[in-house]
Amino acid sequence: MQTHTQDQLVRGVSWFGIGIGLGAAVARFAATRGSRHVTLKTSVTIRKEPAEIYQFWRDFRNLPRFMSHVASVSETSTGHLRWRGKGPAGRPLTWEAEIVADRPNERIAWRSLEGALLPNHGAVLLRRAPQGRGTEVHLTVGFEPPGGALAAKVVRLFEGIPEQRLNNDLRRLKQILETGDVVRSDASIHRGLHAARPSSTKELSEVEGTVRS
Amino acid sequence: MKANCWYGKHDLRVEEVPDPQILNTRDAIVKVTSTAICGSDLHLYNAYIPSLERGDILGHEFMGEVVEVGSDVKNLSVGDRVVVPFPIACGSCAACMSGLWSLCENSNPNAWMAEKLWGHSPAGLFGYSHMLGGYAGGQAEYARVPFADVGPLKIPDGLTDEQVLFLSDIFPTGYMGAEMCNITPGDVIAVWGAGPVGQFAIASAKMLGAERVIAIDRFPYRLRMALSKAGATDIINYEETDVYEALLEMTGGRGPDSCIDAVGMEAHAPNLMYGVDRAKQSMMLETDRPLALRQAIRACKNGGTISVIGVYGGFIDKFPMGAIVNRSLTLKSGQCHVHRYLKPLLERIVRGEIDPSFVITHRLPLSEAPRGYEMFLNKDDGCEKVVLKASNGFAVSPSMSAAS
Ligand SMILES: NC(=O)c1ccc[n+]([C@@H]2O[C@H](COP(=O)([O-])OP(=O)(O)OC[C@H]3O[C@@H](n4cnc5c(N)ncnc54)[C@H](O)[C@@H]3O)[C@@H](O)[C@H]2O)c1
Ligand SMILES: [Zn+2]
Ligand SMILES: [Zn+2]
Repeated sequence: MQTHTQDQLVRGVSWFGIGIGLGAAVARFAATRGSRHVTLKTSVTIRKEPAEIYQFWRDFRNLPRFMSHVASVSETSTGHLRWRGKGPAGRPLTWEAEIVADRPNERIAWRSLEGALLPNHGAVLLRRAPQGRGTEVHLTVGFEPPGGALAAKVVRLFEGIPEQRLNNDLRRLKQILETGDVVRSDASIHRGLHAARPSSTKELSEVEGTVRS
Repeated sequence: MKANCWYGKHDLRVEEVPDPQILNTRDAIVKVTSTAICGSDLHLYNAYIPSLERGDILGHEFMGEVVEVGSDVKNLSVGDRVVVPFPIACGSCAACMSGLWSLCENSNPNAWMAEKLWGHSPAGLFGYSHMLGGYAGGQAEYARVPFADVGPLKIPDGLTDEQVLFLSDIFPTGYMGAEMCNITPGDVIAVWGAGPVGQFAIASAKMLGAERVIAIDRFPYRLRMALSKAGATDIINYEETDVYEALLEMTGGRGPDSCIDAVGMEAHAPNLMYGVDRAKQSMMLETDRPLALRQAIRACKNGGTISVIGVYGGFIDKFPMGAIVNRSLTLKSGQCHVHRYLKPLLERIVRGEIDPSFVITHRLPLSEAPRGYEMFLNKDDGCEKVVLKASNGFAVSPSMSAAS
């Protein structure tokens, strides 16, 4: 989803003749890769009470609505979270995680259990912004890429998740909480490049999540 | 349906595309009855705005009849006649809540692209590049309107399309340009650009109580319109007269109290700087030619305000920051927060204080949009503003398509 739009941006920006590049997120990702541990951080401010955001997030089943690399999250009988990631070419990647911190309306943290192909952890911190400016949502996600050929494949899966992508996830969370739904444009509903013009019914049937009235 | 699609610099094609459908429960579908070509569209036509894709539908000034509403749109019904504001705004984010509708934090699904260029993203706009949302525009037979429970303005019976169409953009834009000048009695306002946006800035400056309004352009027919229709008190043809000297002469050496730039990034000048800026622009050393803006800053009185409603896309060169700091000038700008002005300006139209249709010089069927762009770009045939009539259920008689 990012590749086509990044191509567009590169084209657009190089048109503008400025070496803005793709931003600090990608650079930071590249820089931390060598050390094997990758930590990504991003934040957004949402005009809602911390409690509302906490409740929405704490029901992890909501995450696929705004996280582009997550297909589903469910709770297991043991109280753990079973994540299904969206792999390349539709190949799912599943792992289990446990909630390691849960402070209502403040912080939720989770960590993958032993046996995950790609050990990972995440935390969302909610902080009230000053003077009625809503709630700051700070998201941190970390990966510990293991060695080996299989792992290399897995790592490639997550290479598409620099901070930019995580930030887009938080924007969609903001859209859902502030406007009721993910905002869709004629072009943005498509994973690949699509002109800003309506889609045919057939094209639309291949797009997830679009609403018919 | 038929729609006017962008295929590259000076390459527009009216072609058959799928009809729009509801994608969010707060959407409506509008059958477009009238749509216009804006100076902002010329920046796309000339390929000065990045991130357009072949096949994008253009157009952000449009109105029509509601033909379908999403399940969460309670304020509109099928059959309502509406004008649609060009910025797309959710109505519930911090920006919308503080009246900064063109900065809606939720309506641009490609916000990250705009962030790379500008640091933060403004609202999504209809038909105005992927960086500003990737939304189909309104130069089409139908348009999908997101957040239809927030944006569209219902039009009371008894008003023609042409009287209210420009509430979608240029009337509020010109008005905001004048409002940013904080006009007090006795003020002299100079307006660069006598295009449609400039005309409404002039008319609005008069409505807001300016003593004198000076229109600056090089096309005599546009300057004549400024005098006879918009209410300018003075005109300056910058090809014949030194603008700076003329303005000082008209103001006893003070300079205008406020200066409005209604020209934007593709300014023209009859002197060497034009060639210099054009060359830099083509070599991508700067993206915009700020010729009118530099002149406005230079001429403005000490402590005055520069109100920039002409659109700039990227970076400019030789920006006279020294004049701003040392002469305590204030620079204000923005894409128009159209939603803010819809009702008050509709009331002015209803009360007969202004009939915005005075700028219209050409009426064409949608199928002739490419010709309309060419004419508007080249200022052919006295062209000031082109209105396109969508063909659906709206017969375009031969007499209508002739210039008035
Ligand atoms: N801020 C907003 O929300 C908003 C909304 C609509 C349009 N706009 C912008 O307003 C600008 C004008 O739009 P328009 O529809 O009137 O376009 P237009 O092309 O018809 O008008 C521009 C006018 O500026 C004149 N001009 C060029 N160089 C000049 C100079 N150096 N000095 C004085 N005049 C000069 C041209 O001769 C022309 O008449 C565009 O940049 C457009 O993108 C902004
Ligand atoms: Zn416009
Ligand atoms: Zn908003």
